[in-house]
Amino acid sequence: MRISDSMIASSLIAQLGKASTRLFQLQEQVASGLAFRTLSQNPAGSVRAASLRSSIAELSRYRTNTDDARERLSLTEVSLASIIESLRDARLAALSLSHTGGGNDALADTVHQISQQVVRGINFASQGRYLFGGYKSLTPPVVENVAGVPPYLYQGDRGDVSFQLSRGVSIIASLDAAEVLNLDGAADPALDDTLETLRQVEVAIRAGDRDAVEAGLVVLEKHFDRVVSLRGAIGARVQHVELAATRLEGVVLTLQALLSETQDVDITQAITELRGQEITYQAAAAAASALHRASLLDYFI
Amino acid sequence: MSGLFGIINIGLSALLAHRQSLDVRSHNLANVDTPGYSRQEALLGANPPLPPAGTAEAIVGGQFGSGVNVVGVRRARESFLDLQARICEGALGKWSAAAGGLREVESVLSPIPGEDISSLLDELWNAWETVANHPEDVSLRYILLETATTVADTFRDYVERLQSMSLTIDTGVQTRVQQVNSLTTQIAEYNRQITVALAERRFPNDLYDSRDLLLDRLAELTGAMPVNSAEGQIIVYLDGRPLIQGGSAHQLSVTVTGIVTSYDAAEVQITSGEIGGLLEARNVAIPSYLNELDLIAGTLVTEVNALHQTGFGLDDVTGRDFFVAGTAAADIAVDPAIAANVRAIAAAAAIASPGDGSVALQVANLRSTPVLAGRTVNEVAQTLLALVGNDISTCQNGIDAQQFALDQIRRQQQSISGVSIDEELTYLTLTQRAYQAAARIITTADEMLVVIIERMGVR
Repeated sequence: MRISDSMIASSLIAQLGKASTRLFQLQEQVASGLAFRTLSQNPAGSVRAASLRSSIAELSRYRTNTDDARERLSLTEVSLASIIESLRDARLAALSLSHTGGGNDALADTVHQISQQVVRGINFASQGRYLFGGYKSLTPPVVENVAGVPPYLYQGDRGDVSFQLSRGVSIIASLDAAEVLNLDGAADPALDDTLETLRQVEVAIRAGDRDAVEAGLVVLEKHFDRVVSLRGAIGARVQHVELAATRLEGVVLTLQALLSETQDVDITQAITELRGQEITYQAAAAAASALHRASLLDYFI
Repeated sequence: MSGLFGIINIGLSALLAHRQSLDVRSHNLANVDTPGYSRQEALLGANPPLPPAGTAEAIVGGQFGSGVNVVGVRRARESFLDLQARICEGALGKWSAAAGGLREVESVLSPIPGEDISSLLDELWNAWETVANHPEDVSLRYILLETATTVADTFRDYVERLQSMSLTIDTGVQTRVQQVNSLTTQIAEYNRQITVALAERRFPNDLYDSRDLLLDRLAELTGAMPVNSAEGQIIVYLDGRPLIQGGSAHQLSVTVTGIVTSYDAAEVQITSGEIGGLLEARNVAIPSYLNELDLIAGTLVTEVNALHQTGFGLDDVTGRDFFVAGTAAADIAVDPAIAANVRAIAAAAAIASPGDGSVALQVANLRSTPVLAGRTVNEVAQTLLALVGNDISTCQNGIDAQQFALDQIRRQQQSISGVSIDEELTYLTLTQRAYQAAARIITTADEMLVVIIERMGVR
């Protein structure tokens, strides 16, 4: 093949260009840590990365939901604990009725205060949001009944507040005042609500009616048992949410590893290649200078 | 036998021929890096022997050579390679121009990895789910409003930028059509000059080179191939219509509907070259992206609104849209009533249920609902990204393949037509020596004449 000067020049330029393009790509990869930066550099990889990022966003959201659910369940549990404590105090107060007849006003007042504590527990609000009123979260679940009996009225809607733990799987993280206190006979239609029972016990103590107090105690016991079992159910749900959180964390980590595998550059390989490419570039440049040194002009003139 | 003066004539013919040959060599060296220049070569030929054959003198005394002359100046060029190169130029021009237009689309739709329409939609779904979890929290509703506004703004921005890209491409087409007109005018002018030069028995090699260079550029712009015609002229057709015929060129002009030739005022379809690539990007690729954007935005608006209509805001009003009703990405926007009052965002499924976020959750779950022929909105968004990436990658593969082929052809062309300094220097020396020798012939003849004139019979 006949070799002309322009051929040597353009071939050198092409080779230097090729070497520096590859060098630039590798430098970009090493500097950014990404195997590809534009869609066109790896269309399939880009879309896979976008899809993985989308899944990570979705699962991270579920992970955040578990925090929200756990927070709400914990607050519910704390409120139930205080209600349980109050009911226990009420029972103790009733049991300590010393004599029949009048003069038990102080004890009756204690029971009255306890029933108010129960109301405070059930009307507990976190960040302006009532926990036991279903979807009516901006109004207190129970309000005093001006008519007197029953002493308090339920004004929630028994809505289930739930949190999504994965696609289509939700956990109910709410408990309703009606269920806790058997308001409107929500848990047991045959039974009065807890606050009414407390009121009856209070009246019986004030009147010194030991029989009525004992009858009240039996009912109070049922209320106590119900709230305790509800607390147990809430504890089980907290555990469920925690398991879900752990599982989601694991899945997110796996997906992040997959994303990294898809879009991140293998730094060791990239740097090794970068070194190799530097040498190629230097060789091309050296070849260029060597070729340009040789000319007949050096001998003729 | 021509006698002593005959020798001087031979010497003179050699002096003239080698000087011409030196001219050509110098011309080669001078143009060693001139683009499009083809190496030339003076073809030397022996003068016809004297006396002419068949004459009595020739029969008696035989024939003797009468020197040398330049019978032609050859241009080292292979027209087959020119054709091959132009085919590659046309395809390369097309892919490069299309890629140039589409790369901008890529930088708009995915400026950096992870910042694209798909991740934006993820943010929107997450914002809805946050509201679903805390429907009474007004500050979280503001975050949802912000996110939805950003999504809407981004869609409109995409459309605007894709449309302005179309306009930029239009300008590019316009400029290139002007270049084509200028090229065809110049090529037609070269056609005329070449015909005249050939008629005058000159060798218009440099005119050929210049014309070939322009034809290369014409092929790069339009993919049009020249056809050789009589008297050294060429004809160029574009979409079946003549662009250059001998000394006349037909102008192209850009109209609203397309590119029209002055030949018969008909529209010409340019499917190759830079203009072909730009037209394809503008007429096929970008509209297809805009369609996808419309599909995504339209579905987003319809689906979110359909659910939102069923829900109740914190103000207990139902039946409202979240987005302004519409089907195009160009006019997607959060409903002004929602933007003015985030309490109007309908998260609840029933009246007077501030703690109910079930409708907001349904909206958030659109993330995984296949609402578009079995695909989710996010999947369609990702398909759009794949479409853009694949289109550009196809262009890039085309560029790489054509560039490789063109490099090979250019190498062969340079092997044939390129100037080698070493070669020229060698021939230069040879010609120089031949010239010196010719001068010596004349000197020798002269000395012989001196002998005869000055010494013969002188006492």
